[in-house]
Amino acid sequence: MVLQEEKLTSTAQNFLFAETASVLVIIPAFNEANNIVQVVRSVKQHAADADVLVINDGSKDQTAFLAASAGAHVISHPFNMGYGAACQTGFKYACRKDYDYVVQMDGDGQHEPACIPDLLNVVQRPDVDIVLGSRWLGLGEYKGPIIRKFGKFFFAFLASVITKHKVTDPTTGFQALNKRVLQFYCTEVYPVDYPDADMIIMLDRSGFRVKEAPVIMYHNHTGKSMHAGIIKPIYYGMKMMMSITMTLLRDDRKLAPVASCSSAAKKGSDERLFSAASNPDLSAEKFS
Amino acid sequence: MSITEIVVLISAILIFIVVLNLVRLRRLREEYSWLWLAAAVFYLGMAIKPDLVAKVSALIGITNNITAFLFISLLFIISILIHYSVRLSKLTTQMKDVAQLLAIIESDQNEHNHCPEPEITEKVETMDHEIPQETPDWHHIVENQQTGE
Repeated sequence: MVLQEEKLTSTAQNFLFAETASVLVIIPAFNEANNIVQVVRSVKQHAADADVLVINDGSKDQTAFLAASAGAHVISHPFNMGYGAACQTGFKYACRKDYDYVVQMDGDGQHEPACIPDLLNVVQRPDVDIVLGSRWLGLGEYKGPIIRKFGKFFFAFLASVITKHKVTDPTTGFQALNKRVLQFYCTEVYPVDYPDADMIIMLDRSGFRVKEAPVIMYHNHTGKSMHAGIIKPIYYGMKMMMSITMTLLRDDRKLAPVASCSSAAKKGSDERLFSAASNPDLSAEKFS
Repeated sequence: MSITEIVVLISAILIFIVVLNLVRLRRLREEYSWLWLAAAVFYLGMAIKPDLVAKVSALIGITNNITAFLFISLLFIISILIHYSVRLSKLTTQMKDVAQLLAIIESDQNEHNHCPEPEITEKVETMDHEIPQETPDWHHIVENQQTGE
């Protein structure tokens, strides 16, 4: 099910919320000194009740300092580990601090923070585990290079066919997730580089309910592209095909949590948050 | 197809299956599997079309098929080892950085908790900071050793 028909207004008034629900916005950032202050301030403006965490992935510039001065909590990696690792650090932090919902967005200003309340409205529904903000669902006009579009459309199509749901933007870094997906993301399933269509297929096969919602994204001309040249797209395509094949061959349902993060914290078992594979009791089948 | 080619073909398929299964089990990262899979593809090519390799090796003066096979196999293995060495080097640097960061954070915590830094003497070989309650009777042990000799 895709929420293309719903009119979503992005005012703070739509930020309907159980009073006890806590939200963390995680922003992985690598050398984003130019953008991070604007991004953090904008997030705080549109999602005033949420905490903001910036994960500084070994930046060589003043990203960490600037993010902290803009009011975000900052975690700094000792060295650069990649976008996926930075996101996962944010997820592990959210798990330890027992947040109810996590919003993930990029630190380069491509994602519009005004859409955060919209994403949160969707993810709080009882029939949704994770909502992906898609730039192709009619909101805003995203103009990107053509080669990227082709690659993304192909893998979006593949993901749609495999999961039997409509997937339009598999590489989106603008998502909101609940506690179940949060704990899943804290295990070894989460990729170190770029979560992509294979992640969506994995989520679907592990029993999570994935929805898409329209968001506004801007194309950043100075941003780094992983689809430049000819060799990189071919390598990317091969890598994706292997990832998707592997996802189809694996059975990650046993890593999908039954217990929420808070009960794991009560049991005092931090191990479970970081390696569900070590705990054979975690089985979705028992509780489905 | 000769026996050799069949054996090479089966080996190539086995390498493929083993490497892909290791990636599936998450015991081997995808990034390290590419060179192994490329080697398996090469063996596959050798088994199916040996004359192609013969043409290439003739260019560098190798007439014996086995020599060519071994030479190219060696090149593959050397490439994989160099890749590993580079990766290991980076990992060593990263480990060092993490260890240093941990040590500094731990010393900050010790300062904060007003814990005295443990004195490291030759006797203490454990990682614990606690001084054992019962120190071994060194004189007794030394005496016994001397009488035992």
